[in-house]
Amino acid sequence: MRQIPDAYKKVPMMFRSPIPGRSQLQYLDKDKKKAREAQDVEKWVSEWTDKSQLIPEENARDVETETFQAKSYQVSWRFVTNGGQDDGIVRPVIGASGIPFYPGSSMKGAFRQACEQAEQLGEIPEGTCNIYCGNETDITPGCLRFEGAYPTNDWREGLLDLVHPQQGWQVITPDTNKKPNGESAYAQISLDRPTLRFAISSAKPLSSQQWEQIWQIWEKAIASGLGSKVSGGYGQINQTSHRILYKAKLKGQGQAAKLIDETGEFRPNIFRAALRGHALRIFGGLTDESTAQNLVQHLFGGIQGNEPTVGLLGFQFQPSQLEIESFGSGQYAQPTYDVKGELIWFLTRPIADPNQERRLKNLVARLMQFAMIFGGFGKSWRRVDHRIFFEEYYEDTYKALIGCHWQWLDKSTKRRNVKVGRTEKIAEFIDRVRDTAREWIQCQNQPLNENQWASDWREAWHPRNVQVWGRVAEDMDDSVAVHWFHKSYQQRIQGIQSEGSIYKSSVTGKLGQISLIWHRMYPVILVKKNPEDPKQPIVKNTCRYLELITIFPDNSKECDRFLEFLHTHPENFQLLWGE
Amino acid sequence: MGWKSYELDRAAQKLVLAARERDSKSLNQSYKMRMAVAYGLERFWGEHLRLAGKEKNKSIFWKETWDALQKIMKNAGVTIPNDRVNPDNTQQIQSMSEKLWKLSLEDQRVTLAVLTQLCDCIVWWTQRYKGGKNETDS
Repeated sequence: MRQIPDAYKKVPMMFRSPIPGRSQLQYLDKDKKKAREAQDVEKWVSEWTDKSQLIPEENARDVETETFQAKSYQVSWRFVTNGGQDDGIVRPVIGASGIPFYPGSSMKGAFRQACEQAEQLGEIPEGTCNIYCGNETDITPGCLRFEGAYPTNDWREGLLDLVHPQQGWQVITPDTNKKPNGESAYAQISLDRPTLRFAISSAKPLSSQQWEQIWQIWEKAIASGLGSKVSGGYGQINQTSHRILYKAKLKGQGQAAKLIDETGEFRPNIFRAALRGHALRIFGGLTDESTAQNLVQHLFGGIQGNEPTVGLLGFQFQPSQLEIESFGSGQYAQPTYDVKGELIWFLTRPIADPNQERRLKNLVARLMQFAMIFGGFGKSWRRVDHRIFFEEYYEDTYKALIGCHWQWLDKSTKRRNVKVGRTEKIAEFIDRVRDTAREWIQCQNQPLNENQWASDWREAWHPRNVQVWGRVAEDMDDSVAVHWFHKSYQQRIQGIQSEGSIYKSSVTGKLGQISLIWHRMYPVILVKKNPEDPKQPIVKNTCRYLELITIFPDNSKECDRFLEFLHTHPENFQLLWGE
Repeated sequence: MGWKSYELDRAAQKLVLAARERDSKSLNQSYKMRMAVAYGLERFWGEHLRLAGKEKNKSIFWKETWDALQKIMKNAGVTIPNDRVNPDNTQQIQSMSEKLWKLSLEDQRVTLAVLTQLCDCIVWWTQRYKGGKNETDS
């Protein structure tokens, strides 16, 4: 047989050693990015998809017979399962012809769980589960065969999924020039909005009522989310069987996340990241570091001490409108999103104590309101959207896209969530957020340790660590502070005052260093009593905004001078909260 | 031509016992090894380097298995490369990869068949010995 010259250079990534220089799938190589070379995982994916096939159309249709049925469901965002075949990279099981699939064994597990639950709730007769799935104690087989699912749409696009864990960087580390360990981006493989066709067969013919029941149980099962990372927004079908804690309609615009190939993607997990970070900030101001971190882990899940936990909270975002576009030109071109939709936070498992559930409901609502009042979601959430509030900035198109802008969407959402319409209300709101968090800590039997709050963290929310300043802006052109981020806030007048500037200092941050200031233009919405129907207050939009500055002083010279300047009440800025 | 025993089963038993003695938890690698065979020699060989930095005992299990394979194949007259490689040295890694893929297709196939059998034996012994030590750990 003929030898292939340089065979080792032609070997597909899958068959190479999972080590540097050969095939490191999870790791993203900065040098390769700079040199515009494909990452190992990109090559791996293209080698996979090049040779793979799609499900032929005749096998993609839903089917109903007495012994075999198949139904299709669309996942609203990404779907991730870990086949467990490769260490170091999360990727689906890849079946015949290179088609990824959801194994029948996983399907059976999810079905049995939902079936047992329905039995306990008395929704289906006792014993149903044993008939369908088999009796585990005396080892009799069930009548159903779970055949798993295949994606029937073209699943080959957008497989590469970048994950950036960055809580430590965003909240804790004072020196943000150095990223903490384990917070660099890594790659995983997930399917982007797949249509999954699930198939079940039966050993004996079943009536149409029985099949109906089977699919009802299955719909319950998938409404809890499919695959892994469901509390991170993955694997959600357009319905949930979980207990809903909070619901709101939102709209937002900002900078979209970039996939490895630089295309933009709106990633709903920005909501989770924001709430998780805020929860950590608030808890960090009320109790010691490790208690705060444990509380957040319990709520949102995570990996601490190598023990992965699933959090209490899961979420789902159903976009009703989503546009991905591009802004800016040349190397400044950035993908952007413009999105409307409904955000739901739900309980991933029941809480026995109704008191606790009520407290958690309050906590989630407060955290959402907190996120909306002081910042936004996703990239550049600490800044106002310059396209709206500093249009002139982009007269020269070679400028980076900055900021995002989020708003409450419909009337009922506004009625429930607009907590501040005047600057005077801010302090009351923050105190209420902290009270709600205190109640949660106490009902979790965790220590309230206000003397030992996480004072080492950059953004712990404690009156000694943070100040909130605010004013009312008449309209969108009336943002004052936005200019301070780009040029001096105080001009030099010889002999009287020196120039004051936070531009490019530690206060405003720069590329690779997180700023100490959040700046938000929160739309003023009035919620007034309705004399005709006290249950339906009148919601009135205005063109005004609360211009809010949240600052975490770092004792630098620039920061101290800037605070001194704020104390002169420029344009009516008032200290609203903090010492 | 007489029958010659290469004692794969005995070699496997030795490997499993040694791994168990070091760290009974590393025994789970046996199943991964069996699975990795499907991806060929290079991938199998490279696994010990991937684990070298973070999980030493697992890494040793893979490497000892490779060493055993090399010895068995040598008895059968096939030379399998087994250079000393530093996981941080890309050049050494690539040169080992090159040697592995330079083996004649026939040798690769025979080696993979032997490795498959060796790994089956390792899994068999693992199933027998697994719960034995530090059972309370789990």
